[in-house]
Amino acid sequence: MNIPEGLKYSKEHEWVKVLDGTKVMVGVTDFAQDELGDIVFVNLPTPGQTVNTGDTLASLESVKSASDVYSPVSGKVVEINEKLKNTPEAINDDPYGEGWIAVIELQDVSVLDSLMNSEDYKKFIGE
Amino acid sequence: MLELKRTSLYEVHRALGAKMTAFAGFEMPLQYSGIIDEHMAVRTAVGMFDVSHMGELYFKGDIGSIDMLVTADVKKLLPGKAIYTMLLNENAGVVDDLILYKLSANELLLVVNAANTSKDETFIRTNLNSAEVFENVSDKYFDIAVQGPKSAVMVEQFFHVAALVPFEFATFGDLIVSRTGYTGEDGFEIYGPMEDAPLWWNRFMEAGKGFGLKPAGLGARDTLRIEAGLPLYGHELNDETTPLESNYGFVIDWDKGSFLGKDVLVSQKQQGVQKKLMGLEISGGIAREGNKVLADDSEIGVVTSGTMAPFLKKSIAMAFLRSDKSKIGTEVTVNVRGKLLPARVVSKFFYKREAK
Repeated sequence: MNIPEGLKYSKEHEWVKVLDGTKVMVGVTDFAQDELGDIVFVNLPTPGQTVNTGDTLASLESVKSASDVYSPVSGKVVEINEKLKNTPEAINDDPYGEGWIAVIELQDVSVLDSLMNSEDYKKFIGE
Repeated sequence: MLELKRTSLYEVHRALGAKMTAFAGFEMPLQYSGIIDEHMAVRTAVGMFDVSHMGELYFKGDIGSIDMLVTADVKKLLPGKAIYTMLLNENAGVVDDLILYKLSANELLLVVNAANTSKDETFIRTNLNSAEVFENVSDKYFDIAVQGPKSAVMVEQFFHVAALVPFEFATFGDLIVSRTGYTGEDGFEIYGPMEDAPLWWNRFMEAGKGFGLKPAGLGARDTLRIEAGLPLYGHELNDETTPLESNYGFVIDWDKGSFLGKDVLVSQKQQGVQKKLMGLEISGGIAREGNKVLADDSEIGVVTSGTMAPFLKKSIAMAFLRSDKSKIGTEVTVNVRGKLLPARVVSKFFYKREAK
């Protein structure tokens, strides 16, 4: 299972990458995409939308089922990965790269301290 | 919790890296390489499924007593032929759908849904007038389905099947090989002694290499059958719904003599049905079982199965619709997790393979 160092992880299997001071990029982990199976449709948030930790940020439809992506942070959605509309499979193929979901401007950067680092996440999923 | 049963291929599936899932009391492969990849292998080359969880009921005796319980004319069916049919209760509700094999003039093998095997067994036993033998032999048989446009040339390497037409079968030693399946594709099902399943599976895997064979799980089995508009018991079929309502009336042989539920079907045919199972093509999302279908702001139906069709690359679903809103071309909406998505009524046979 690919769990890159330097990212933050949530218990709901999202990753958070700090871009600059207050902006973070969010996606789902390799573990999550593997559990979901082939992703065939993505419901994305709307740019400008405000989300709180635990809110539904997006939903991913696999062939078998629909799963919500819960926002691992609070803030404002400033960018979404429009490419997922046509290539939802990017989440399976490259969950930490082309499969990113949204960029969020943090309300409070201290939220990052509540997330796991790669070592902790590795333990969390039992690897 | 009940312990899940395993087929004799369990270790083989694990070695192939299958993701397993619980289905009808069995621990079965959900997928190996991925549902879409396996689905496409079946549509374009060949895929292989372990469906040994399916139930098998063996009957020997007066064929008339089984004939009374199904929609097909079993008396007329020739030995060596199989038929897709339904077991009906007295209200013409579907007890199960099955493939019935006429082994000889007085012997039948009924291949039924795993989840319904004991229900069917009890139902048939209760309604039997006479039987020399009626036995649940589910644990004794493996069932391997080899499906796809390349299946015939592949299977031909082991058994002479080229002459078999669809729904015909032949025996080879202790195996039964039939030209049947549940994918909408040409294909075969091979039945044999449960303990021999790994032997045959591995032989087929080896022979399939040159044909692009992929092992396929229940995930692809489900998307393939939805794409082909085939029903899954508990979704499109149930004890309270008749084959006319689920719109699989072709299974009913109206010319045969009396059978359980026939009078209900006859009156339903004259008076028309209130609801009908149809296909939907949906925009902007994927409908799932239980989603409500609406027209002019009122509820007119419910989705029974839905998926993104991997081959057709469309969001499709099957749904029971109020008859007056079931006409092909009718515009409806589906409530998918709170979002109202536009949909169009279509034939549920979304995919039809090209005739050769």
